Amino acid sequence: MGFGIENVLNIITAIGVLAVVTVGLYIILGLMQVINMAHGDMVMLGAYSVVTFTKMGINYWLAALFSAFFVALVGAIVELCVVQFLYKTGNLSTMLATWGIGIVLQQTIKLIFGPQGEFVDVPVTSMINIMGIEYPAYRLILFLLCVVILVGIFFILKKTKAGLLVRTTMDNRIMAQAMGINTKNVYLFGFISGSALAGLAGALIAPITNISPLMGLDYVTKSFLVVISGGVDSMLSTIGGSFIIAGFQTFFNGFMGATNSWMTVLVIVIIALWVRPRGVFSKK
Amino acid sequence: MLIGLLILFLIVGFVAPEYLLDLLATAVIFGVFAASADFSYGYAGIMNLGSALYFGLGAYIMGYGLKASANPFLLIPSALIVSIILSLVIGYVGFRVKASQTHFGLIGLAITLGFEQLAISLYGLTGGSNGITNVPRPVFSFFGLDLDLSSPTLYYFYVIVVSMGIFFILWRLVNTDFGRALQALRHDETKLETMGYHPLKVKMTVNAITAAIASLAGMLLVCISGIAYPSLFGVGLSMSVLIWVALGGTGSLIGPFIIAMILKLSESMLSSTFENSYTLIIGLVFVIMVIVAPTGVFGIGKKIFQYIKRTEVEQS
Amino acid sequence: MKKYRAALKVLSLSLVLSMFLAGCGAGKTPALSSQVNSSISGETVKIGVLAPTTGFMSTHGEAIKLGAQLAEELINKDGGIGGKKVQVVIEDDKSDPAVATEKAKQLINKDKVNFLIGTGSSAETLAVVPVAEQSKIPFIYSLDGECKTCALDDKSKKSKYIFASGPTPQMLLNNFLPSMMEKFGKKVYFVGSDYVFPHFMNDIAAKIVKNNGGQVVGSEFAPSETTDYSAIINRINKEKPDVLFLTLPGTAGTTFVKQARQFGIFDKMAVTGSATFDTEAYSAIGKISDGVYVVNRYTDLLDNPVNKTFVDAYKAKFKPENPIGPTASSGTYGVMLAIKAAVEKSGSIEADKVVIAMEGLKLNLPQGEVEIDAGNHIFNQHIYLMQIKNNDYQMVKDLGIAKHPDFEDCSVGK
Repeated sequence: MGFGIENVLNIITAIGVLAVVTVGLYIILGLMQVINMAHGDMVMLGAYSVVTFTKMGINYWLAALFSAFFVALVGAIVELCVVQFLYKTGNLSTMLATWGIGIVLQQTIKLIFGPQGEFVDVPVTSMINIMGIEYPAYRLILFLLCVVILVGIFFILKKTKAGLLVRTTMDNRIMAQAMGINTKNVYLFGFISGSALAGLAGALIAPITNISPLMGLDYVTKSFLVVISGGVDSMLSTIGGSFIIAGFQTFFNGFMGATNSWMTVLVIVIIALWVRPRGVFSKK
Repeated sequence: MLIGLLILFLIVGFVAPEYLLDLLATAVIFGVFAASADFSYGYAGIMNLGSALYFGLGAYIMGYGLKASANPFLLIPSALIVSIILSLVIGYVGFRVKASQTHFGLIGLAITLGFEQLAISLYGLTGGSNGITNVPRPVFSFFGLDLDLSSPTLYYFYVIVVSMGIFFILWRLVNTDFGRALQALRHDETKLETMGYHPLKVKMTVNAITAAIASLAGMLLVCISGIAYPSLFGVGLSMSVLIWVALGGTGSLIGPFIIAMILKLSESMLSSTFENSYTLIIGLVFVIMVIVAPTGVFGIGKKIFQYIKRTEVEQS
Repeated sequence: MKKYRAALKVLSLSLVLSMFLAGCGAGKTPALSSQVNSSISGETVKIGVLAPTTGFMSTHGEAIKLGAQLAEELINKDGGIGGKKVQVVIEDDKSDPAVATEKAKQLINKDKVNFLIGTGSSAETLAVVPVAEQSKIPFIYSLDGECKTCALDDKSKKSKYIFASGPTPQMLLNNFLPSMMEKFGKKVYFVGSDYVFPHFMNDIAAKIVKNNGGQVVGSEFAPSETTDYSAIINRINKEKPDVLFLTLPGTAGTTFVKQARQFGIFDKMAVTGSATFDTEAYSAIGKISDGVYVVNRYTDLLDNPVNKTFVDAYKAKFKPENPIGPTASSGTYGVMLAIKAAVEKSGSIEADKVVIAMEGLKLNLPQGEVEIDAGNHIFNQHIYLMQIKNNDYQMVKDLGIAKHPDFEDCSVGK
């Protein structure tokens, strides 16, 4: 076909990265129907955390883990102080409150670090030889990590008790409460997990993307496109959505200009929503 | 009360220094835009995360047309028609498939992002990222008389008249049977059917009205800023509108109108002094408001009134 | 109904309050919007500065602000402008063209500035141009970019009050690209962000390459918010150019450079660009850009007395962590020096007289010799070939004074 291994690798790594960035949003949206507009800013927070931790001399991979914990902590504070009061008041309030939180996060980071970009180096700079072509090792490692994370979450959701509690609450909150599940804690746990994942994603992509206070906007936009095109039924919907957004975009970009690829993807999303409004990869 | 506001605006128009009139007119335009968004969400429960689409469309069509010396009397209705048709198409598609509120909102977002990209890409038509620049103020000619709105004072009064007119129409609409039907729509669609209305048609009408007003707001603004640019289609403006609706008090029309004005004015005036922390403070205020006062400023106003009334009654 | 009335009263009161605040802050005398600010406000010369300190151009905005503050301080220490104190009024236009229009009008009508400088993006600049022309206030914009100094109604004539301190793509690239091709080879690949400025850059670059016997082996654009450039980098690798020319300003540039480096691009070809590797991006990609050649109008290592004064004062006042760039030095500080020289030459701060004094004015600014072109109002200036090394932009070659041909590609009034 002449399409090339590199293109295939580009596509799957792009899908993997977007999936891991989005999965945090999916958990919060699917579990609590909360449109977390601060999601992109939590990714940003993760990136800035890893910059700070590595500057302190901590090994990159450890720093990434610390970043996840740090953003999880921030998520806990946000949930306890703001979001938990808004579950009953409807979509608009949570969306706007989290948008406000996002602004607060952006401005705080800007006040501390300044508006210019930050830098953290790739932990692995070498290239690996795959089927005859040279490909950046870090992208492959990142992809593998993404797979591990996604499989891990899938596993936790399906096979563990905590996961069962989450899924039950996701399906029907009132039933879950009737069954004696402390849904308040489940929601808190969900929000923390979503934030931690966003933070981890931010830390992992920090070496290969720009790091600035406003970087979250691009990611929150793409993440939302993923969940509305893929649906929020399950992890697979998120991966499917990432396939549509990142996969198609990279695929088209393999032989079309980047702008046209992006426009085509947007058109696909709109058509997909028409045909399957609950998401292409949802059960309905 | 509307007359009161109108008189207030007119007085301000005579008293305020001229350079302020452009800013005040901008604030009123945002106010009317906010009111239309409240009409859509606060009354009919339709949330649109991409309401800036029609605003931008109005601005671009008006900007392009005025530079090409088109007659404003033809230009304005044409822009309105384009926006309304687009909203009908989007509405039909979105509502027909019975997308949830969130989904419809997000579809709006995807579409407006697409238009933002189009505006950047179609350099020949839209001026690309530079936008349509040096847009002149409109000149209305009727029966041989030319009304040139180049002066900020004249333009201000023009904006006031148009905006208050639109607001008045909205106000009347929500106080009629149609308005009550909308509230039924928000709470329970089936109830709407028993009232004899067809939900799909009602939704599409609401959407069209909101789109038309947003489009008009864009048309009014482009002559003040002198430029139509891609960010007008962006997430930022759409979110700002929703913020105005929430903070002002959903379902009150006047709350969002006034909050939009106050925020725009304070942003212009305070941001120079509190440059670095202004946005941060606004973000915080905003978060606190959403939690503490879910009914918005309008709700607070109501509570204050009730409190005053109660103390009056107790004293008598 | 009663509840509505009451709530309305509360809200109206707050509205009245904010309007009164606005009125009080402004003063009650209605001002003529097109009044020429020829009167001196007291004994000061006021310069309005539009600095986008928030929004996507905030790094440039910060630089503009710092440059203006330093210039104000140094000029006043040096006796001011023609004996009168200089005062800068800095406003944030939020990287938004509509706000730029609004703030420009405010600076002109409320603060009664005599001159306007600044703005970040092209859209902001283009929003301010008509306001300045119609209000008869000289506006010298800070950044480089396509020509914007032609008249509002006639692209072949010069505007009266608009001046460009920054070089146009033609000026930057005319000598630079042939030098690069001479050094590294004739096959050139262009990548740019998909908006107006990079398109101009790459179009002109393509012409220059072809005129110098080179070959454009690829030219493509990506939306500014692209987060994954792997497909494009893949194609670049396949084409194996000698020179990769990037016009990806700001965040797009840092993302691309980081990803390109991963794919080993830097080892395989000469990577260069102007906006991509500017000082505003240094904190993000400076460390991995060692050895990259860039073209620009300024480096803080320039060895002339005016620059030495500026750099020493800047470092003492602001203690910057990164190299000082053209925005603060040439776009702001240098522009204010130019205003000072023009006012002193004409003996007046009347806009019409100053504008005439500016045309043809020769200056020694931190960036070197500058002559303000009488024909098209663009600062004819030295263009430098530099290399990022040892944490700064080392001067490699002075490519000479560049001029812009008439009003080629003027985007005003489009």
